Amino acid sequence: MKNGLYLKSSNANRPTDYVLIQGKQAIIFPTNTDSGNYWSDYVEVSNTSSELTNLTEINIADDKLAELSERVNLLSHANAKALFDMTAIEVRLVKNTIDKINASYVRFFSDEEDIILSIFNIQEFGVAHRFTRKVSQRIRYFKTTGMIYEPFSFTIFASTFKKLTLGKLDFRIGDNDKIIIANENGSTVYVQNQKLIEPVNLFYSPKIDSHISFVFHPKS
Amino acid sequence: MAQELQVIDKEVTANQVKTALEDIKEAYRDVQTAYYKFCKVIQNYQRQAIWSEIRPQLIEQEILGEETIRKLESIAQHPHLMNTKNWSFLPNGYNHLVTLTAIKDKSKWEKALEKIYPSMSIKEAKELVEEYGTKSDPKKKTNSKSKPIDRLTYVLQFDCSNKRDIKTKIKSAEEEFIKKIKRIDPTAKFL
Repeated sequence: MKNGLYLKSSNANRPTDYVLIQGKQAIIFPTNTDSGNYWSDYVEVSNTSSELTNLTEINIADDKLAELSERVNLLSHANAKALFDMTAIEVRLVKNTIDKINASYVRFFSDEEDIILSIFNIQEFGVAHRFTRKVSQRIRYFKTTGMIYEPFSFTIFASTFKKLTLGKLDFRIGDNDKIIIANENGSTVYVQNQKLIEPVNLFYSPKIDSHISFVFHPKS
Repeated sequence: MAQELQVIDKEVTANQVKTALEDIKEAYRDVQTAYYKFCKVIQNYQRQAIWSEIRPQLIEQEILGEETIRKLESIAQHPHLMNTKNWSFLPNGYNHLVTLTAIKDKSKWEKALEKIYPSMSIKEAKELVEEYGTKSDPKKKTNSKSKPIDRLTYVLQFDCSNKRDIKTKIKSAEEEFIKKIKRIDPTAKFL
């Protein structure tokens, strides 16, 4: 397929994606519709442009396409705050948890030597939810390990995590507020930090050997 | 006399074998150390912004293959494997090491380390991952709710009529709570 910008045909469940093809490389700009606005929190760079079908070319000047490609390449120019990976089992576990608690966000953060993922639905912390009887704010934590060079907190949409391929994934938390997630097929996803932190104060008390959490009172 | 000579020969042979074993062991240790030093070099560049330039060049100039780089990256970002204290116990085949990267939890790693040895097979490494790695179906907790005595409810009330102040008030309430907890348990660690 020749170099250029293409529209990938949409279906009822998925809005149109834009695809920039540069040789073997395809840069996919997925779009979500929200009240008529198109937005996306991630870009995917794939090395398998030949596998893409149903593409309609859009006429854009070559220099503009080169500029766009350069801007995407620049996303990877960042020092790593942390490097870690997740096995296929761990990825599946997080995806299942997202479904189970209908999570809206996944936050990755460092706690000394550990990397912790907190999986939560932010709506459950809103007043409307908390006023309802017999409801609780659910958070699931998942602990892993990796190389931590700087403390960090990085939040992505749970829906974005669910779109990641099943299989071993490599994570690079950049100091440019982007997380780079690479899979075994050679595809790389650049995700923007949503900077959201669950409104829970969690701490560990060595004296009583327990984790204590501070959340909003259900009736407050 | 003949018998005595035989004894001496045996001793000589035993000593030669012993020396050879030591030599081989030392050379093997050098290989191992060199191997981890190699991973350390990768680790050093991997964290830098220029890694995105270096990585494709390694493949393009046929210095390393994509698969090898991925394996080295995986080892280099595993804190327990890269801990120099563990090096003498670990196998030096990178397929073995990549397999062992699936053991993440520190306490589980420490238990697994007791069973790790330099000449272990891939099969044994996989069995260790099976035992100490993340389980696909973690055991369900029978009762995840803490006992009432362990639960602490601290109710904060404040005037929310001025919405601009809410954020500040929540922040100061949080600080007040932390202060109270610190009074109860000065060793408490906040995330």
